Amino acid sequence: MGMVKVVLNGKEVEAVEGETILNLARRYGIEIPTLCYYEGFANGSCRICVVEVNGRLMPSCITKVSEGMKIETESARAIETRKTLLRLLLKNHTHRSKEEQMRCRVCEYAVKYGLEPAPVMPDVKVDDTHPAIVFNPSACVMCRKCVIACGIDQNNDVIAVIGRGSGTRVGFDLDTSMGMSSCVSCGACVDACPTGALMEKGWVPADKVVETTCPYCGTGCQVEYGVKDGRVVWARGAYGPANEGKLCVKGKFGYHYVNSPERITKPLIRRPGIPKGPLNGRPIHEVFREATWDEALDLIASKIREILNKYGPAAIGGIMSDRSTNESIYAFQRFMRCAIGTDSIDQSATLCHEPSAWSLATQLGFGAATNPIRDVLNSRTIIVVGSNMNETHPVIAAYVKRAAKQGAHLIIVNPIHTELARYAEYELLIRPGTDVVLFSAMARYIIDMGWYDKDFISKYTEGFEDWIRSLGAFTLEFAENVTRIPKDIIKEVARLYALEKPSMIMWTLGITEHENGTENVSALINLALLTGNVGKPGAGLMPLRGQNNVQGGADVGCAPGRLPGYQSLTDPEVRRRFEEVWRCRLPSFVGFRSTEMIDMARRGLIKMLYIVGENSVRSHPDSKAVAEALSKLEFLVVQDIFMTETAEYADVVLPAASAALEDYGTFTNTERRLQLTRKVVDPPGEAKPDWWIFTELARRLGYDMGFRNSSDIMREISRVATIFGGLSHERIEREGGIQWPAPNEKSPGTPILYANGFPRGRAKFRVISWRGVDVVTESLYPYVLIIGRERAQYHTATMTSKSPILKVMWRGPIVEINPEDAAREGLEDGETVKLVSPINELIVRIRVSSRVPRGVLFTTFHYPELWANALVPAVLNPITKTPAYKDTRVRIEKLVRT
Amino acid sequence: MDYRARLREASKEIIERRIVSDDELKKIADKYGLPLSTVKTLSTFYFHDYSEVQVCMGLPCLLKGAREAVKELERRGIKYSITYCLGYCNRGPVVRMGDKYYTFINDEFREIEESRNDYVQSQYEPLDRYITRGGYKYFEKFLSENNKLFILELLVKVGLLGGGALSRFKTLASSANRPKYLIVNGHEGEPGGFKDRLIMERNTHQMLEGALLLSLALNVDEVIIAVNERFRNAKAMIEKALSELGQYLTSKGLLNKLPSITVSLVGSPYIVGEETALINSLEGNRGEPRLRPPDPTEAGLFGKPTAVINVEVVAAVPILLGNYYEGKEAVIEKYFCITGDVDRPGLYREKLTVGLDELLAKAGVKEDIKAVFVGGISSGLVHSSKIRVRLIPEETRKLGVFLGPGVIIALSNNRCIVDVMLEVERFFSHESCGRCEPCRLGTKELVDVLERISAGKASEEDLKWAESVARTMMETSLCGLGMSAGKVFLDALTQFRDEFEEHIKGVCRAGIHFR
Repeated sequence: MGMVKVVLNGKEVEAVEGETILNLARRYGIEIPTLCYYEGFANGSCRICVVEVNGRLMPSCITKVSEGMKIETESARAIETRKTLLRLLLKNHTHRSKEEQMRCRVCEYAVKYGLEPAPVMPDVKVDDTHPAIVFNPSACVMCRKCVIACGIDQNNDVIAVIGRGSGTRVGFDLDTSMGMSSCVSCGACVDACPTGALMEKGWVPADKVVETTCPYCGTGCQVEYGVKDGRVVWARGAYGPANEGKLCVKGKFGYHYVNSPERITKPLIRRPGIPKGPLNGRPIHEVFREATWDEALDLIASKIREILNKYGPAAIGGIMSDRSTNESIYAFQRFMRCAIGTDSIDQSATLCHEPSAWSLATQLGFGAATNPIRDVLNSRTIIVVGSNMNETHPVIAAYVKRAAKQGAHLIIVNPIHTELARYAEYELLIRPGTDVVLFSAMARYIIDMGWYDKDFISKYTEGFEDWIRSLGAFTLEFAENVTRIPKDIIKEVARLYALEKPSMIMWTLGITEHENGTENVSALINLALLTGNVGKPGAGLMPLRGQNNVQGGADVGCAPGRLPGYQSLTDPEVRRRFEEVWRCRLPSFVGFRSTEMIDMARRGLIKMLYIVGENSVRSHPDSKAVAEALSKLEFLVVQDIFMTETAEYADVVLPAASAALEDYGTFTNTERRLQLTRKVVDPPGEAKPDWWIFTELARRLGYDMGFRNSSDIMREISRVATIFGGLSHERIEREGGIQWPAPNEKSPGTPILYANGFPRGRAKFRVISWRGVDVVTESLYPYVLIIGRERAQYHTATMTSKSPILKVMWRGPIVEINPEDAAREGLEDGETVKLVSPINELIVRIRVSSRVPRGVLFTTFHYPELWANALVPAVLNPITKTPAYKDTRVRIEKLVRT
Repeated sequence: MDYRARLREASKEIIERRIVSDDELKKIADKYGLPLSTVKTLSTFYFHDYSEVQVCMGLPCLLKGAREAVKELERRGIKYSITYCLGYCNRGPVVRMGDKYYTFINDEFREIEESRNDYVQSQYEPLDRYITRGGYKYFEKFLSENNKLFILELLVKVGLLGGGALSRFKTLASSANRPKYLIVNGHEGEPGGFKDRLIMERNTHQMLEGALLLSLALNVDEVIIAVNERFRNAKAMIEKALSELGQYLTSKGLLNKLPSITVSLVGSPYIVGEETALINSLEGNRGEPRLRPPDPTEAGLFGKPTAVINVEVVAAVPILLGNYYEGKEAVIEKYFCITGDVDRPGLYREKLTVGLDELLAKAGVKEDIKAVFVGGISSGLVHSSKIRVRLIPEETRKLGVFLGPGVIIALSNNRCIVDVMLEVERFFSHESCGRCEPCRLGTKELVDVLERISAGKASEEDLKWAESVARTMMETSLCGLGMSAGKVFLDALTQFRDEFEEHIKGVCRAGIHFR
């Protein structure tokens, strides 16, 4: 980075070559007014930031410094010009309320420059058709920040400039009202607007603003929460490395759960004699009684001792929440392994991305995404497979859309038509469950054409010859026949991926939630290795993690057989080290995964479960079996922020603090980046952080973990796991989020994995096979039911359902069916039908939708009115025990109307 | 198709079919898989204030009675909208009805013959005729030249290209960043300008040869001729010429040795003629100017090095090359489009050494001239006392005007300067892209103030305010449009301050106002 010398307000200073004058001035503590400035994008439309440079007026936000510049930020001429511009703006500007005026920078500057601020006229005409946002055109100064926010940064493309000439204005879609438009309510326009023309409904100024990491998906967006009277009153995007100011509807408008009166505020103990199961409308206090922490923890400790005495440690299992912090999850696994002595501990990855983590770890070394999200802007070809990211990871989708608009080849592979396809060059509507065939056929074709990266393969990989031999069956004809994708398209996509490099593959649960999920992931990894698309900017393999800290949960060892930092429980040297640090004897068996634990409980082998923040009865497959399992337990502890359907089976319910807003610690996002969560508000009532509860329980079992606060835990994590060796809360506070591995204090972290080779020596091609669906099953159950998510809801909606705004945006408890299928079954839109799977049946309402192809049904698992997972048989991936939520066979039975 | 290609195709279709209705826009969005807001923003930019019948309110048409044409349309109950520059400025006032162009004379609308396709066809110069008069004579010789950049130096020598542009083009020629583009700017939206359209229609092959010669000199991969969507005849002629040329080059075995050359329609709004706006329009975006730096020669079309050169300059290249090889002096006759208060409005070709007063005399200027817009209304207003200058760059620069478009509009003493400036600022306010605040709000403010002055409701304070607005526009606007809108206002105010002040007192010496 070159330095140049400039004179800034009479003082010679050093400037970084290429930085803007505005940036330079800010670094030297000089304030220059800005309205249209949008970090990361060159806007330059308002000119309010003019400064005098060598006698000429220049907009400081877009003018780069150069050697010898003489810059005057407050010259009489610059100030006079700013005043003229402000007068022009003020002439065309009114506010509807005092609050709106408080948000207005034009009025703020007016006062500063001795002018009258714009008048407040309460009856000015506004657009209040949107559930969460008000648009007041009379306050708009056409700075176009909202247009950048919507159309260039978020790429939702709803807001655009309408018209030409001095009457230009902003409009939505075809210039309709905001409420009628295709707005997805990400709120970026509101966060960007410098005048309050676009503003949250009912906004109030906050007493304080606290930044933390978003509690929802794994993107790791940074959020600022406004707090008034101890309650969160609004949220806005903060400029973190993964989101650069952006949020999605959940992050922006999904904070109400924190303030909810339904939060559990005291430990609850089941009253004697009341059977476990759904409350069925009974008030909580009839079923549970409130208790003190001492009483509840003593009870749990004594029950643990009793069960240990009766059955031994293998009869106890624990499922930890990935919405919690690394520190709490770490404390949980240490508590379970040392204080109880069981290795049956798990996190939610088993239900979602464990096949990704397993295959990536097995073939490459680390079970994590290889590149940063933003790096997709460097890709020339992008394959998005099995991902509805525009709804599930909207901020990641923003970067993918931006890359496509900048000219990258975007290829979507998904059985369902997703919104992202609008930006794609090819949309491959693949037959469900045939991904292995598609990607193997692409690989075979790339080899036939000689397009593979011979250097990369010989230098960095092993098992290539064996793998090639296994590809024989995957001809283009076979692939076309099985996947229903024309072979010419397969050829073209293969060409783009292999030759238009760097190429990146991104996927979500459409790849992993199959019986052969590990094979699906391996097919992607093999393809990336074949073309050398690993270890480089713009390339890589990107599983998009679904929960804020599911990556971290695995990293800190909350999985059977796997100690923190991906170290094996069965390795004697590793055991020795951990036993020394932890001062305990580690379990001598490898435990069960969560799906297996449920089965063991049902079969009476596991007697006690400790479930933290998981709504298992609705999120696991075969709800009936889960309910049976939970009822059979001798003792169930549920720790959560709400009384979930799972907590209704508990003997003791413990009130937890919200990790993202009521605790201090770290989350690890989908790009391996550790970011801080901070205490935005106090936990309600007597709710406590998870790590505190585990530490207290351990103490009651005679085991002192020595944790006074979560920073103690972070210090221990960096001591026991090399990949975190250089990380601490202090450092992350100082430097912002850091991507592991960061083995020591000097390491800046690792944005791109495998840039210098593979930790296991060589990356491995994995031979995989594929088999089709059994003909009998197919004829009995002709539809594939895909269970996924939708934009404004999250998992079993324990959090999102508390937001009145998210509630009005829901799609509802419905099952989508293709119009032709509906016609053939004689069904009408909105009709109620019976869905029958091999294990269960459900009465559901259908919606006719061309989003789904023939033979495929789509629904979500968000709604308490529709327990979709009840239909899913517990058919698990043999390696990771992940259920096939994306591949449940069903048939439709018409109901006889009475 | 990838997203950018779909956007480009959709934009082309919107412009070509002049799509404005929401129903049709929705179909376009569906057809190309684009967001509704994207097609809406394009349509409302390119066809802001659009209707089947449009009256040109450009200054040349206005001076020839556009207001009377408007009155007549209103009397007949015909719905119309205002536009600026339909071409044919020497036949004003011009009215477009569907695809036909009319002038309004003696209370009737008469079709302009030059606008008819059959007429344009009859004026076309086929390739064989162009070759007979010397076309492609030195093409192959030039092709074998090692250093082809001398041709750019010739353009500088005759005053068609500036020194700054020359050095940028040289950098572009040696840049390894490919593909590189040459865009021939056939937009000509300046009210009063009609030379480029005529060159495209009549000297089509000469322009194409010039484009090929320049593309070789600049070492580009692709040539795009960007034609204003209102010049459909010109586009047809270029297409015809391109097919003739294709056969000719194939027969000579040259086709594969030359960059591809295509023609594309771009939107008609005035601002699209600005080179970065033109690039935006070709990419399928709103035709708004981009921030500079970077200069298009570094990052232009699709972010690649791009040279944008005007039709007249391109068409001059074969002539200059001929002169060069034949050892003649490098001189060129510049095209001047003269309109306003003259007896013989039209196209004039003169050497740059011609005096402005001589040129005006040739066009039949009246004795009582008040002022002249030299280089168009966005260039500068020159008081009659200063018109005894030669039009060489050194002298025009001193006048503060830029001759490029060759537009000269004469104002007689019967004209009210306030009235003229009001219409000029209305033009800028209508044609501003609306992006930067000084231009978007400043043009509107100047119109407001001028309206008040016209109505006798302004004060000395207003004049001062307008002056500071105009100066701010000139100093801080994002592109030349806003700067010009401020500059010409200041031109008028400084040279004719007495007339403005008279209006404040309720006096209009031209007898237009306060009657």
